Amino acid sequence: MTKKLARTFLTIGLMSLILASPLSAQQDTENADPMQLARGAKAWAENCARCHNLRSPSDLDDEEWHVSVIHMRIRANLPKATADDIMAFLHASNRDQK
Amino acid sequence: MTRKMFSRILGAASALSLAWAFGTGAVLAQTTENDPVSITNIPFLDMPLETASEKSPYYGPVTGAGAAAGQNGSPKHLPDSIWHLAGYAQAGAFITNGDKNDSFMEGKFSPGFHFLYKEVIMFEAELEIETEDGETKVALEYSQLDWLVLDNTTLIFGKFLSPIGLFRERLHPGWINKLPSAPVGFGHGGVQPLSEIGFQVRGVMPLSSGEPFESARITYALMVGNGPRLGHGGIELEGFSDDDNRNKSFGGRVAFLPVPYLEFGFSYLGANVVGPEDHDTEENLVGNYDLIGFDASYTRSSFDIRFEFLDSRIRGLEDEDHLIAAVGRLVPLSVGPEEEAELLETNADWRAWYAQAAYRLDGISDHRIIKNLEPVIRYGRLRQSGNHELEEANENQLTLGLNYWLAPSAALKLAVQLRDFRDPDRADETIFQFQVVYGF
Ligand code: HEC
Repeated sequence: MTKKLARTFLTIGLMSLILASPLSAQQDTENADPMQLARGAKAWAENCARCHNLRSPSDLDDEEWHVSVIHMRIRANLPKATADDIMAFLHASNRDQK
Repeated sequence: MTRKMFSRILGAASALSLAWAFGTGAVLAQTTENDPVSITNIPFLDMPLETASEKSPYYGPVTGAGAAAGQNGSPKHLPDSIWHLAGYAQAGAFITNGDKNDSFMEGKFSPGFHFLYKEVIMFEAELEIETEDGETKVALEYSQLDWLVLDNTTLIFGKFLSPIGLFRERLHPGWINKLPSAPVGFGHGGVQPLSEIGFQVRGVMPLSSGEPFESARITYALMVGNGPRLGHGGIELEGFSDDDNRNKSFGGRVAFLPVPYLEFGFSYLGANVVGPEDHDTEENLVGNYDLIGFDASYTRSSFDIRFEFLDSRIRGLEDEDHLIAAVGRLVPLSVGPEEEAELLETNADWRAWYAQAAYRLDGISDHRIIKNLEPVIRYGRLRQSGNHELEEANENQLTLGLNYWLAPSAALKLAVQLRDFRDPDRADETIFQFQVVYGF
């Protein structure tokens, strides 16, 4: 039983890796994409309240959001594309002026 | 639920997930670039989208190999390397009404340090500084190096919180936990492993397949660690730097999210455990430990509903010399000093589950005070067997709580916990709990 479960796990893990790799070829966009902010706002509301309360964008500055969103991308297993959209939204809607 | 059934369910679930993954493989890479976004009114954004986009030129910077090769991995206005202090603090009072009337105060400060280099490397560590009975204890909760090797895959080395189940990795900080205490069996000395030292690969496989499942995904965290150890204090489920046998522990958690607010997770951990003496000899291999777990969460708008189940056991403890007493870490509120502890019988089982529901009243009221209130109910059970002391801890636990949120990460928490011990000789207890928490 143990071995069977272990094998199931390994299979899922490997499949995930295989499936995940082509997705990593997300291209960088050169131009401003206003839709990114709209996607980001939605993704923020849907993903960032799953484990704890949503913190207001104005709670942190750009630098702090940058670290925390990457921290959460790891902890919550978020796709990079989703984390980037959320980051764009948070940077745009906090009070940080650069 | 029997293990056989469980492994079948796990098998079926993974087969289904994989079928979903392949079925939707064709549309996988298409993100929502041209999809209509259903949100028209973006909270906190008080400027036109175009202006905001210019303020935030953040369009998926280069990661992994690209960033390592010198391409910038941070938004233009941010430095490549950033460090950040976060963490949480909590203080509380617990008053017990039962056989022995008891009360204690807790104070805990957990600073977390994050060092980020571009979007490639993150080092994160958290300390746990605790005061109990006038003594201050400092412990390293975790200390890990995260390498964001691919967009959706991260490798982790070091001491990390166990990815088994939900509570430890995601819910235990005071400002996240909806109640002042951990569910029975999920705290220190519980069934849920606390931390591991080893290696982890974790990530996500997006399965976007059109509305309403455009954010469906499978996430995974697979680990190899030094595993649990059979010590003088029973089986110990915290990360150890020296491995006591050549067989590492192996396991992890795989979860399926059809939509972001609904998650089903499956956990497994397997390891061989040996006694503390005579390292490295074949005869020392005295037991086989394994754990299976299932969890489910629904977290939408004002609701936060969770269920978590863990079932672990040790089989084949044949060597008489190594039938170690099982008090301490495995038994919450351990009974009596270790010397008086009883031996484990050849086999031991530990099982715990809880179901919890919280509802934030902002869902029904705009009132300036009422909207910050959050009633919580949790029911949990701990069942263990192997010797009398393990069995004595068996408990049904009901906790009712009310939180007042001062800020998204600061709250006052009040709760009443009814502890119904299964042992007829052990008196039931009622604990009044009060806690102040702040996450920063
Ligand atoms: C899988 C559960 C989970 C999800 C989803 C999640 N968080 Fe967190 N978050 C945590 C945990 C756990 C901590 C505490 C980390 C610690 O103290 O070790 C935390 C801490 C934080 C902190 C405190 C600073 C820090 O970096 O530790 C911020 C800010 C935060 N989260 C923001 C977010 C945002 C923004 C999102 C959405 C992108 C998000 N969280 C999604 C679990 C989650």
